[in-house]
Order: sequence, then C-alpha cells, then structure tokens
Amino acid sequence: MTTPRLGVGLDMPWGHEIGWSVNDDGPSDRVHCFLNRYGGAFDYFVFSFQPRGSSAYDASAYLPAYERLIACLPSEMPIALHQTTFNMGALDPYPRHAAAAFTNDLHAALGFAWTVEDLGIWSVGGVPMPYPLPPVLDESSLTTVTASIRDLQAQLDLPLHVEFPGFHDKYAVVYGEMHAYDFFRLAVVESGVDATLDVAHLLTYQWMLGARASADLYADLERLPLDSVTELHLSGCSVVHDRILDLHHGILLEQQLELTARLLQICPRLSYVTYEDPRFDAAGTIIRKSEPGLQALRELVAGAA
Amino acid sequence: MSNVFAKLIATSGAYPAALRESAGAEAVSAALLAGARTGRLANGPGLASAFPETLALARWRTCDPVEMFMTSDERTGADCVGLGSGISLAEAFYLWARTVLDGPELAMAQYELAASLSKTLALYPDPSFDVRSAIFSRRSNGWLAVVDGSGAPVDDEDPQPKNPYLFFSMAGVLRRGAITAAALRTLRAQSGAP
Repeated sequence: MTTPRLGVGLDMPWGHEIGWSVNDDGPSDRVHCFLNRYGGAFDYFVFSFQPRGSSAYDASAYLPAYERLIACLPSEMPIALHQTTFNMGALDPYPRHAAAAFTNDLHAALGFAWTVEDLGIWSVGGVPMPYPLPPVLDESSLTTVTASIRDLQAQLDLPLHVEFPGFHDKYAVVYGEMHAYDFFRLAVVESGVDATLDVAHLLTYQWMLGARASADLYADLERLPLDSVTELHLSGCSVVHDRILDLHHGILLEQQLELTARLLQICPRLSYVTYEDPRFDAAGTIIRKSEPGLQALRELVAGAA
Repeated sequence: MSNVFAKLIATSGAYPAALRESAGAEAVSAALLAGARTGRLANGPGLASAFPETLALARWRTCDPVEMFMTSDERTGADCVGLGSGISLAEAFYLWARTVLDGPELAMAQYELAASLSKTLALYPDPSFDVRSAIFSRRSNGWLAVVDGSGAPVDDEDPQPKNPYLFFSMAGVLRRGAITAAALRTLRAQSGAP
C-alpha cells in the first residue's frame, strides 16, 4: 500500500471571483488569499483548465497567469492539470493531437506531476456539451475510447490519469448495455493508464441505477480498476428531493466520506486524494459549513498513511 | 421540442441514433440553445447580444432563428471548442442569416457580424477560430472589416462598398467610422496599418 496525500483542486474560470483575473493576468485576489492561507495545509495543488475567451490554444497566452499562481504556492509543491479538452469519450473525429501538444507545451514550462480528465463526451462536432456526457456504454464505443486513451497517452509527455465520468441527472444522456464500472475498468486496464475515481461520480451512477441504501451505493466496487487507481476526487454534493447533485460547493456528504474510507482500503496504489472546489470568502477562508467534512477527510487520509 | 442535440448526433454519424432519445437529450438541447444565445457555448459574445437586429429581422421568417441556425448545415462549420479549424459561431450564424435575409436586412447582418467579430478580434488578435469572410482582412497590426454604411449588402467574396464603413481592431482597441471609397482603395493597397 502507498501512503496517500491530501491535495486541493480548483476550477479556475477566467474573470470569476474564484478563478483567473483577466486584468492582472494571474489568480484572482480571492484565490491568492486562499493559497496564502491554506497552501501549506495541502500536499499538492490541481487546477482545471478553462479556455481564455477566444484566445488560441497557445501556451504563451496562459503561462504568465499560471506562473503567478504557482508563485503563490509553497516552494516545490507538486501541481497537476485537470484538463477539459481531451474529449476521450467522443466517438466522432476530434483534434486530440492539438490538445496534447498544448498540454505538452504547458508541461514543459511548469512540470506538472500528471494531467487528468473525466472519461466523457465533452463536445460533439465542435459544440461543447453543458456537462460532460458519459461515454456510450457498448463494445464498439469501448474499442474506440480505449484506442483514443492509448493514443493520447502516447502523445503526452506526462502521465495521464483517466477519471470515472459523472452521471448528471438532468443531462442523463446514457446509452448502452454495459455497466459503467465494467466499461471504465476495461478502458483503463486495456489502455494501461492510471485511474482517478471521483467519489461523487460513483455515487451519481449508482443513484441513477436506483441505489439509495448504503449497501447499494457502495456495491460493485470490485468491478472498478482498483489496482490502477492512484487518485480520488471529492467535491461537494447535496441530496435534494431524491436527487443527488454534484454541486462542487465544498460540503462533503457522509456517503462520500464512507465511500472514500472503503476505497482507501481496497486501492493498493492510491496516492492522491484531491479535495475539489472548496468555497471560500474574500479573505480566502474556507466556509464554515465545509469544515467538518474537510476535517473528516483529512483524518481519513492521515489514518490511511 | 428542440432538436439541437439530435441534429448534432445525426450529423456526426459516429453515435448510435438511439442516443437522441435519451432522457436528458431535451435538456442538453435547451442548454445548447441557451449557450448560443448567451455566449457560454463559444466563450465569446452570445448571438443575442451580437446580432440583436438580425435576430429580430429573421424572426419574421422563422419562429426561433437561433434554433433554426443551430440545426442548420451552416452551424456545422463552426468550431466552438477552438482546437480544430472551424469558423466562429458568429460567422457561422451570419452564413445562416444569409440564407434567409437579403437586401438591407442582409446588410444589417453584415454590419452586426463586422461589429461583434471585430470586438472579439481586438481582444484576441490570434483567435482560436478561422476568419473566412472577405469582409475581414488581416493587417500587420490588427484586423480590418469593411461593410457598406448606406444599408446595401456588400459582396461576401469581394466587398466593394460604395459607402465604406470600417472597423479596425488593434491591441485591445476597436475603432470604427465611415471613409471614402478612394481612401479604402488606398488603404487596401498598403500592406501595413490602415
């Protein structure tokens, strides 16, 4: 068993309070305060790629801002890039080589520890989906998707982690007879990459299948590629009117913590547990409602070490 | 019922047709339409703010111009992701508008395309999309767009306006105004700045 570390991840849209400042070409004041306050409380940092308006995918348009963000982090802190442009679940032709080249250029300058993206359909025919759709769950799709992952990893100069996709209840475009855990395991194992399990995404899938009781929500874990899992993601969720909502609001559900505890036991290579998208105020202080869940997560990870 | 998602799936030819019948397909279509109107879809100005007059004019001919455009063949030329080699959503919308408008109405669509895309090009002189309309030309120090200020549409392949109205985008600044046809000829003869 490896010793897991606790990191923090931020989605970073341009021009948002929690994001990039267009005027300063760096992290927003709020993010700056957050990193000053909590940077040392986490072992690594992950940020999600967001396109900068209509700017071309040219590293020079992004690097000044990225470098200012890294200057806010503790020296030598590992950083990873959560990509949003690989579109690994897509079946139609997609210029993935351009996304790989762009990622490699960023990596050459910043030295990411890895890059990760949900195994989803992020766009179709040049049109981005409102939420990444899960891949088509059949054998033909599995063949295409596995080849896409393998090709992408071959083009990248850094490790690729493939993340189990979310199953959004509103945008439930789900088709195919395969169990999503089986599809994901086969895609990961056959392409030889490391896997990331987003705990909320696992719950949204089981919820979509009708699970509500603990025994059902935590079922079928053996169908996941447990030996390939190196990373977990936890973002805030809520259950509202019998819907489970992956809101990314920083407040963790009990079920997320329970599932994390179980995964920490059964994933022998699990090395990174990423707390995603905490909410924090203008002074950079994490909101009070998030604290119990974050503390419980911290103790889980420390206990597994 | 919106067919935007169904059209995307059908056009790609790579996905099972049954995906169009999925429970969430209608919600995806609605979100894509909203994204096209507001700009969320393509990280730029939405069609509602970029083409307010064109949309109002096209509404006389179609019940929902944005949906008609989003399910049209003209839409397929746009690359909203920006990694491929497509045109902007705004230019694709203009190409669709050209199929339903003519005369002064088409001139309005040309004007709104020139105004909105010039704003984008002022901020992003090296954009993530191609600019193919001959209304636009790249200069050594920015972008030039020329339409006719008198309400007559210009030829998309070879714009020769009688009353040129010019947009010039450079380093975050957009300048616009009428110039004479002779001045435009001189300008075009120069390789550098207008």
